[in-house]
Amino acid sequence: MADLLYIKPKQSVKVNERKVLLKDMAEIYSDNPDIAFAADKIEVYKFKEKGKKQHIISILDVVTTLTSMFADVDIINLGEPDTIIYYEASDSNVNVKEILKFIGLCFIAFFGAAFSIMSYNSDVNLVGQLELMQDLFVGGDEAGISIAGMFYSIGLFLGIIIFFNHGAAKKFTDEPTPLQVQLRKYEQDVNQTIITDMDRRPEK
Amino acid sequence: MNPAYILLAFAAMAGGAAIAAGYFAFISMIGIFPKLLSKIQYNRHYMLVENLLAYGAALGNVIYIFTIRIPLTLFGFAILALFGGIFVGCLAGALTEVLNVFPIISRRFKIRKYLPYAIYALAAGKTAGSIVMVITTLV
Repeated sequence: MADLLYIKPKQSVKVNERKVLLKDMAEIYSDNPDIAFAADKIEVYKFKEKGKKQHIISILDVVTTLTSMFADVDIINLGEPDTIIYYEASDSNVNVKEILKFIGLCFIAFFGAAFSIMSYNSDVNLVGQLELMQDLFVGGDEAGISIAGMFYSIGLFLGIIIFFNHGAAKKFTDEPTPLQVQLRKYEQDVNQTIITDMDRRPEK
Repeated sequence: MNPAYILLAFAAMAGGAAIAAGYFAFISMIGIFPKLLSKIQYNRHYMLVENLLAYGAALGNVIYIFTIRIPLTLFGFAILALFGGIFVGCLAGALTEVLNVFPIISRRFKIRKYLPYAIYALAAGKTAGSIVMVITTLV
């Protein structure tokens, strides 16, 4: 009976070494430990010193290599048909440019949020609305506006915190935060675009 | 104390929470920050960015409602307006993207190759419009 080899490639992996082994891009299992051990060590791609930093490996390439190495093996793919490999040379020194960009991003987040909540408030004439509500619900003197304003601000803050699901650094539940979900979604979209692009392009 | 105040306070607080949820659902679903974060590969700091969004909005709101005066000087004010402008610009750009304007336009007019110029034109148009508006309202 032929040996079974289960392989589960990931959608995308990031590597620091120029030599990419099969075990970097996929989980492998086989009843026959010799096959699993040998398959782990297969080199699927080698990045050049200079040149592009991403490469797509089709499961078919892997199957071709594996069947040529082992005479009698059935390969079962449980993962993705294509894997994108991103190569990034590992350098430990801190990149000042990146940090400056990140600080810029933090500025956009902080001042942008402040700016746009003010735009929202003035767009819907929030102070005018609070005056109207004070008139409707309390009447008489104007003390209600500042009370309502205060509680509106508290409510706004609570809403944001509940929405983002964390205070300063600690999450309230184990669920991922909305930004985390969006980040993963965006990553998947990018991967999908790269794979589709590659499929449409003739052999490079 | 008039018990109606309690009702008013409750209504205002619930309103604030609802607005915050809607507002931040909009900002995070429109996907500005995922894009900016992955572009500079700082994905792991998503929580810091969320905090900054949260505290920025909360602070801006309090300042607006109670007209708190903070002397930032002209320079600080310019910085604030600059980053506010970048944010609004990203928002406007992301909105056109979410509404699938560009894919549809490029299919209709078959201008895939020149699409980057169309985007520059769009940015230039928005800037020109903004400048015209600022000048006409100020002068």
